[in-house]
Amino acid sequence: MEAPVIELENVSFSYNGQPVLQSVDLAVSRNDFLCIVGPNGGGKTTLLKLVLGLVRPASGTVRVFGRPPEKARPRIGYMPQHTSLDPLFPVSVRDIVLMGRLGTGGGFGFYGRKDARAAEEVLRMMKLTGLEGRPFSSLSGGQRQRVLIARALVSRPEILLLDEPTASIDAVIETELFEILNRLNREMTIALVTHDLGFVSRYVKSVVCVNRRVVVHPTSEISGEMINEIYGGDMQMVRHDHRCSGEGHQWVNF
Amino acid sequence: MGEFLTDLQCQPFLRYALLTGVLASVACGVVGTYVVARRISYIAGGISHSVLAGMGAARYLETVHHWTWLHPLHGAVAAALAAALVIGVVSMRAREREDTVIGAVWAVGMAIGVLFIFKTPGYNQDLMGYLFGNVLMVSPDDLRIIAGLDILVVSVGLLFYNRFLAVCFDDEFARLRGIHVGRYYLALLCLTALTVVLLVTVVGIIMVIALLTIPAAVAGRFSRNLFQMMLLSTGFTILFTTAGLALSYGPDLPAGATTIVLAGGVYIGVLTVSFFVRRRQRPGQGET
Repeated sequence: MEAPVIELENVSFSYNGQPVLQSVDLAVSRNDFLCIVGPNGGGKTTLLKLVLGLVRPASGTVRVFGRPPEKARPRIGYMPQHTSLDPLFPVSVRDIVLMGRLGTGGGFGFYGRKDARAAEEVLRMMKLTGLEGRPFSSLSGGQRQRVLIARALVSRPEILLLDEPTASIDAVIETELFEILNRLNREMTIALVTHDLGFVSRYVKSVVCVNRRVVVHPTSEISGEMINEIYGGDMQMVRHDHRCSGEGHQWVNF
Repeated sequence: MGEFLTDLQCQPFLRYALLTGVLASVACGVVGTYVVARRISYIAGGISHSVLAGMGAARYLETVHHWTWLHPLHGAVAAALAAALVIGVVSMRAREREDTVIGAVWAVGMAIGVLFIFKTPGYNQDLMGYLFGNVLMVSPDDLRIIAGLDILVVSVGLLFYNRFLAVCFDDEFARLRGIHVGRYYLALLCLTALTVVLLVTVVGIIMVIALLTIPAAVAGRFSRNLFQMMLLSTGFTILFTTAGLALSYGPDLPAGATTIVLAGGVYIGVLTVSFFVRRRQRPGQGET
């Protein structure tokens, strides 16, 4: 069997003495499509940052392509939550996407024709053509997210990590986004974080549930009990597979 | 105004003053834009006030110990760079106490400067010049230092534009792309320090922060990206310093203060106009 592209062994991480993740074991195989779910503060973003080497585990080892995560960074594309960025920063869409090409060239970090072509291609893929010159501050939440995904893709990564790509975008754009990700998934391993368990795209191959501990499920196994386990308390599952009728909604209580 | 134009033909000191303003404006347009976009104007304020320590010490050594080769601008450069490195290293290593350190550097720098100036024999008219600027006193010697610093700041600021932009906008992502974020952040603070020194000659220590932020803020209203903002900001700074000099010359007002009041007036004007324009574009908003 092929070696996993991402491998966490008995990883623990704490922040200011508070345990965030405890004895996490995780192996992600090539071309997997992971959805990382769990409550806020459960450690989802931390899990991504461990894989990127932005934070170090208190114990255990993280390996990406069999190497320490810092060494694997050129082969990883990362989309942070757009709310972590200054919305008033004067920067154009093109400038942001080109940031993904930094570190590929040498010298002072000027961009060449190859960089421009790569940027153009991902902008087209993310349906942002025509917005290249627009300032980031003038974009909608969904557009900002697509710009940041384009920036993550422009370096042609083998692993794509997305932090909350579906926050603040509507269902139609979300469906479109998953179509794009599904196409990309043929060439790259994808892991995305979402706090929204009501919806997991049919393209997702496995679900990673994170709340201090990490449990992996194949998508078919997802059940109400799982949601209970993660969020605690009684929850109702939202059904996306029916249309609203004149008689009103029918709720299914798991 | 007419007096300014006629004297410009025959008075070299006026030409030096004008040239100083224009040179400092170019560095100010480039670095001020980074400062405003990255929101580090408080750091720039701390650096600018600590400059007094260097200027006072240099003046003291020059007068008391006869280090005649030492120029107050040399002291200013040393103090500004030291302040930038202290603030930069502390803010990277211990983020949560950054503002305290800036405040301490700010005040301690000034205090050291005051002590040196107090112990320097002779009239202390220097102090007023350092604090409020005295662009009409710029000598050809000063001008050489100013031109050298200007070329250094502008070329570094523009050559590494793409990397500075990435580090300012999203330092975490820049780190993932293999950029040494810490080094670029420190370099940016050092550029800020050198720009502060340039501007001290024009408007003085106390008012530097206004010239570093106001033109960039005005430019930001009309710019779609950082580079446009730099160009516009440079233009506005040249406009403010030149007009400040010209308007203050006839009535014998301090040029630095006139420049700042002018810049502040334009800023308030632009904010007011854009407020009303936006209200007209989106009717109904603000009334509900």
